[in-house]
Amino acid sequence: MSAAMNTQAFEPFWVEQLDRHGAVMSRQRVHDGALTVGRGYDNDLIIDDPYIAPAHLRIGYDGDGALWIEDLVANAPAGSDSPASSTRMLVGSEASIRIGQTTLRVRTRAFAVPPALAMAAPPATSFLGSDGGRLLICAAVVMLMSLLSAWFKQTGEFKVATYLAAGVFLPLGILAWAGVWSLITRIVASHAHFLRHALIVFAFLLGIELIDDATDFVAYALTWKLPSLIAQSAATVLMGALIFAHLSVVVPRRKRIAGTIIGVLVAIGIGASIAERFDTDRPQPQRIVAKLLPPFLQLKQPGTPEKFFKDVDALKAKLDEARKKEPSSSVALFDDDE
Amino acid sequence: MSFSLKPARDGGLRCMLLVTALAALSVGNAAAQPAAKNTTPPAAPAAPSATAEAIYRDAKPRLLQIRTLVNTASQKSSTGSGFLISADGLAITNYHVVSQHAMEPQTYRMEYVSADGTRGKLKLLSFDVINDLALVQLDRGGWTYFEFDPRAVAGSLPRGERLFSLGNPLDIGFAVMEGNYSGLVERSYSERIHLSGPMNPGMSGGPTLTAGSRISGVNVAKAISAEQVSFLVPVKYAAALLTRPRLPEALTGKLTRAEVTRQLVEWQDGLYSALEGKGFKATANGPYQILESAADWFTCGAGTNADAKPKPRARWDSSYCSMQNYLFIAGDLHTGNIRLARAHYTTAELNSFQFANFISQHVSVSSDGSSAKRFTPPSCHEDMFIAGNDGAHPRLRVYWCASAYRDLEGLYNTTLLAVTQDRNNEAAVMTLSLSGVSYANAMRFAQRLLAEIKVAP
Repeated sequence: MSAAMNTQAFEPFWVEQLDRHGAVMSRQRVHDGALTVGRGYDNDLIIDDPYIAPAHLRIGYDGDGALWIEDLVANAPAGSDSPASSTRMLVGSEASIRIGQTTLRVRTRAFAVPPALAMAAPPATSFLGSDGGRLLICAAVVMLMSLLSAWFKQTGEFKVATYLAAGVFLPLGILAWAGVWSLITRIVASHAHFLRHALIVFAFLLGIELIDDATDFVAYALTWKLPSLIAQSAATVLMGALIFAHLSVVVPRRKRIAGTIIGVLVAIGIGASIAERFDTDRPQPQRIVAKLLPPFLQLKQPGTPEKFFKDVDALKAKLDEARKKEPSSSVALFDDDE
Repeated sequence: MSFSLKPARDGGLRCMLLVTALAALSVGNAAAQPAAKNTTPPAAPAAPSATAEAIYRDAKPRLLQIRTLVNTASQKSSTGSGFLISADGLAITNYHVVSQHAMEPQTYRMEYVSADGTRGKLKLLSFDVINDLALVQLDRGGWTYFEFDPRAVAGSLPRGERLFSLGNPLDIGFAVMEGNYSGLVERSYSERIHLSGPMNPGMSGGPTLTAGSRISGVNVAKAISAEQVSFLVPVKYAAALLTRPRLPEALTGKLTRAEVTRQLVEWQDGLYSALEGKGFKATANGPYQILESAADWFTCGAGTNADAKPKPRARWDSSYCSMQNYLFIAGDLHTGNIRLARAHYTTAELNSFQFANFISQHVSVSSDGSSAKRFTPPSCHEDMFIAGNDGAHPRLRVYWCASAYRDLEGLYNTTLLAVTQDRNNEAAVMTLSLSGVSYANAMRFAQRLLAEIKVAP
């Protein structure tokens, strides 16, 4: 700073016009110690806001060198007997005021900005570390799994449509989904974060696919059926995680609220399916037959017929117990007249 | 719940229609009969039509129409026929004609309408679910009645003998229809007379008479997919019904259901030990051996995709045998059927994942007849085992599902599916579905079949 600058009568200050979310729309430097704000063309700062008076504010230094924001409108009403009723606001290093639908912020040179953020990760140093890299890997795995599953299901002639559905329409659908979230993000915040959204939905699909395949595999290899309640709950949790991840990109500052709401919804969803399971004794949707897989995937040692029929025999007691219960649909059976 | 393999459709011959008329059936006004009536008594030897006329005249006062009415509405729910066998008002009809009253005596009641139009109450004395017969008591005596034909009781009617079926078809009036005795139904576990003659809804429970106006059988059903193929219950069972212990005065649903159950349990015990007695024969399915029953009571069929176009990438050959006893318990409850199917799969083109999928696609799991009102939800078990470590028994993956009859304690529907698991490109599958069977019989039958699934080295 030169000595000449220090001798200047007025310290410059900044007047900023903010949008609804607090982002700066315009910034004006004031050198000459005062600025008038209003709709009229005799002002230094003209704002086309119908709720703002032709001469609305004056921002400037008083004789003691203090910076004030002065509301000329509050000053104006007829019958106001004293200038003391005028609204004045002292600006320290920062002050903001809302007039009409506009928010103005005044800052002096004394306003201290926080230190620069450290970069979260060295950009693009690792392929895996970037959204793009992760997305590529995740998408490749999901596509591979979906193409593989289409291939395993192909027991007849080769049909292009089957593979198109797995290899083209599925990714297109995913990208459309990610696109919608990006659009929302672009509207609410400033960035679209398309890659992040696409990564989230691919990761979700990977999770669903893994749960599904693991269920099939365990059911076949170990003849152990994952209780449908667990599989269903896992899918519900994943669904909640998907929405949460999308939302935390859209509104990163409200993660906690979003997380709480989604957590509660997921808990309600799981609770409802548990309640349904135990409230009624109607036939539960269950996979009666495990999907057949190649015999070499059978990990469990085969048992004996004796063991099998011992287990089958044990079902009888269960059935006889179920027989005593009324069917849940409350159908009137034969009238028991005893 | 049942497992089945393509083709799942059964042959049509044994699909029977019980000839009860539901009240909903409407036939409009019956056309007036031509009035040209021969009033002279029949001369001997009578022409068949003259005999029919004499029989009709003779039989009419001994015939009944039997109606089931909803207690509260006094509207008829279904109609059938019946006939008198004693002067004090004992009559015989089909069990399926009176089943609504039998199963739910508080909801349905029965009434008879005689040929002269008089009506009265009926009481259920006893029934035979297996042979579809019921004995009822009319509210008054002083009737003329039919006698059983001793030749028919002994089963010695000559094939081709002319018989006359009587009843009230479609609730439009008593009628006589002529047919011929064609012996007993062949290759059938249950005994039924094959009548070559017409039969129509509403005639269920009516008599079929010899030319001498004696009972030779009781009308029960006709084949759906054929002309003039009808079925009668042999008269010996009607005679046997008279000697059964009678149901108590105060009839309750619980009591009749227990009696139905008792008869079914006894019957299926007889059936499964008879099947065991007949033995089994091994059939080849590629390298695999699967048993089928040696009894000739089954209707069998087969299918393949060998001639499919475009040429399939894996091949299946399947065959099934089913025994359609089709015992009527209630309008929505039939039982007694056995179905045994097997298939062989092989491929040179599919990889092992695709081949496993191919087999899965060929096995259908259906929930037929598992209405919550009649059955418990199915309970299932799945495991794999080897029946012997001698190298002749393939590794098997086996599924078992069973549900219990809610109203018939001790009877179950069971279904079994076994898939061989020793090769990646070849497999055999066996399914077995039993309805109305005791748990012990079902397990013994399944055990026997599974133990004999073998593979050539």
